[in-house]
Amino acid sequence: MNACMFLIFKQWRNSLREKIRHPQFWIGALIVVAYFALYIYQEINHIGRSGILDNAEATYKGAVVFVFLILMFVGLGIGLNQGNAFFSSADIDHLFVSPIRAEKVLLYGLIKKCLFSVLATLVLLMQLTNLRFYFGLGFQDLLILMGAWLMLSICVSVAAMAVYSVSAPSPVIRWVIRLSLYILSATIIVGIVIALWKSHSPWHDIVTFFNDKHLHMIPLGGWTCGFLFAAMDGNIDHALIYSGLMALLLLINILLIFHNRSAYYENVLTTIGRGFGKLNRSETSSTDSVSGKKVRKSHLLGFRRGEAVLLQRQMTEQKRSLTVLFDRTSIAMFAIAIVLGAVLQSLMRKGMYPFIMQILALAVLCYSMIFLLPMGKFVEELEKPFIYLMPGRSFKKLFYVSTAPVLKAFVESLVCLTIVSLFARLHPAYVPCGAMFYASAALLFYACYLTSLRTMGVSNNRHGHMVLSFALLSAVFIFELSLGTYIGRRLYAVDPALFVLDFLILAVFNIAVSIVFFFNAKSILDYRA
Amino acid sequence: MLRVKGLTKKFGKKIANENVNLSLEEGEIGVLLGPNGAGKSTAIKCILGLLRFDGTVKIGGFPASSSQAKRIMGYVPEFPCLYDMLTVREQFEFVVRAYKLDREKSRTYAADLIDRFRLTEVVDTLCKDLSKGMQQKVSIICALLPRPKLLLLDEPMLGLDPHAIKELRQLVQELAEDGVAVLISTHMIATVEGIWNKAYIMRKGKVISCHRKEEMIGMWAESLERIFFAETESYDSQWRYDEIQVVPSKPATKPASTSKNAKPQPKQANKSQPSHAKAQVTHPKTNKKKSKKKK
Repeated sequence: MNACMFLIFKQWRNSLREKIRHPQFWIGALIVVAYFALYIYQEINHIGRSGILDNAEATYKGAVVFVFLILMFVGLGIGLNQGNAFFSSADIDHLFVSPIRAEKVLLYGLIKKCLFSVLATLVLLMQLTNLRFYFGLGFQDLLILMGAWLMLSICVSVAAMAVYSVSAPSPVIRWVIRLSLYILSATIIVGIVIALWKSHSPWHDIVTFFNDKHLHMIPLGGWTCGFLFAAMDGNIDHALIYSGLMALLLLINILLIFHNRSAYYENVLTTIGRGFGKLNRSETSSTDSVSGKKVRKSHLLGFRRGEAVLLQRQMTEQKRSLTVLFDRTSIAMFAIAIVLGAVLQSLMRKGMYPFIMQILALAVLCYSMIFLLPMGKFVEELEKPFIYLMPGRSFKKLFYVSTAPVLKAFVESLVCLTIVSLFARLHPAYVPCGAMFYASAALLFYACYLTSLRTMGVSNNRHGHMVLSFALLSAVFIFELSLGTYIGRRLYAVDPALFVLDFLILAVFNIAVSIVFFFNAKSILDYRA
Repeated sequence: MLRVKGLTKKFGKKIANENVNLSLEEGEIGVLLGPNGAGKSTAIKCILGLLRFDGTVKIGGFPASSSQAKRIMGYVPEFPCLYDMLTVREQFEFVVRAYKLDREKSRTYAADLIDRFRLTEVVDTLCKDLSKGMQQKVSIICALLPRPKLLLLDEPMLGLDPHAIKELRQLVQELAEDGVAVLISTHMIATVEGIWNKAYIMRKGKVISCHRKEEMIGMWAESLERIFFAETESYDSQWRYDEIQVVPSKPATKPASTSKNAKPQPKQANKSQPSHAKAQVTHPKTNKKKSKKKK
């Protein structure tokens, strides 16, 4: 066994040994086994039966194109941004400086990355019954689908590595690739919006859009879809052309990786945060800074005293990294808002009630927010000693720590809801009221996380905390749903325009619950210290 | 063994290293001294081939990034980064496999090093469960296992206990006696005092002076610490002179620098300031007062 394989195998074995000692692993394993059992039961139960959907083929094809394109964007995005997706700090100090050939080092990074694809393949395997039952896919179709999936997984991983090795030595190349990815994704979003613009059946039009054969021209994701559909239709010529294109792309990517084999070291160092470049990029003044040089202003820091410095520091950091109130996830939220607006517009044309559209918009945005909320900053603050050591009231400290992301959520939702309201012609008062609700939901999320910390005690199991906080959040939302329905009905009866006040009332409710949770959790600053 | 010529490293507009020249012969212990941010670690990373740079770095006659050079080179990083999910023993085994070393010989050598650094009790512990000092010791053993001809140590004493520091100093001296060239980057001068042969003092990415120990014997600046402060402070004060136009002061009372390889800075050369000119530095505030009086 060579050194790289030894490394992968031993690390994997030791981490498994380590995991089985903890009960969380067994809970997870139990869930997976239960899912397996359900799958087998479903399989036995569905033998010889089918419940094929209307327009099944088009829906299936549209869904495949959508999923494959998303996979492609995510894979290339990882290759473009994260050197640490392939290598760790230990790799730099031990693997990079060893006499192992650079190609082998790259291959090691690639294998590590591909291991995640194996897990994704397992997830797909679990869906085979559903695909057969709802979409009427035969054994051969399923086989082709699995083949296409594997082809895409391997090609995306190799392409990500190639993008990484090409873009590592040159910021300009990185910028060009990033721009082209943005343009491509923006084009697809614009296409969806146009498809929905005057649509009377949004679902059907989205499916039609993703069935457009022009999408098969997109390298990687599109080509894989082209291969899949051609093979399923028995069009061997087209299938061979698409698979040939994929093989050619794979070959080019491998050549690129080999050609740029030594160029990635510096980039990994920088990405992991150990490079001087990182220091330079953040423009942190070093101890050597000569007087008279341009000194960065502290922006918001020092504006107020006491516990508020926690907020000011976060805001200053945000401002230095990108903007005060937006980050990259905001762009994703705006994209979601545009597509959502287009869907709501077509629903509006079908005569959908505005209050349902208002609820729907907030539900989708809040659901997306949970995945895009910058939890990291909040948790990071709790892991630093400063918050525990600085004098001040625990409640205020916790409040200020969570204020910056909540403010960001508020401003972000103002933009998102404005977009949605313009598309679906909702009441203007909906924007501020909805934004209040959205921001209060973010606050509630942090409050739930703090409560989970308070409940589970001093533990570094972030996943456990997340699960408990999600459960708590769900419980609050279920209660809120019934409360909102009750109040909303009464307000709607008085005047339909007054329905938006329901969101304001629920926002107040969220804030009240958050305050209670914050008070409950404030003692963590004492015992965690 | 190590030849560095005109090493320049830029990060965008920022110059991390500028025209760095270093050389180490077999059996020499070189120290790279300098305050935080002087560019020591960056220079070492360039020598290792981890960073792209302008200039030439040859290790045993091979280019820095070649596998031949890597085979004869050992590196102890500033912060120990081990594979968390490997035990100490597996970590060593990985190094043996990566460098394709003889297993039996390496095992004996590793056992000896483990004993010297008192790691016997933790050989089957996962690296993530070790303290920082222990991790540093493992990192040092990993660097020593391939029996390198050039050993690069970046702040190796950080986090080590006094016993380990003593052991490492002794080990470095033993290695040098066996003909290994050692380059130690540090700002903890006391830890390398007494073992060095050659000292390179860095400031703002440049090597401002180079001293050989044999040239220092019997001179006022025999102590590495004194050399360091004299060199860096005089360099700093000259920088300040450039900015505030200092009134000419008395000539130096102490002997001039014995620096040999140091390249004179262009501005320094014009000012004809001796390198140990600490006593002549006029405080900026005093200068300002004087200039006001003149007005």
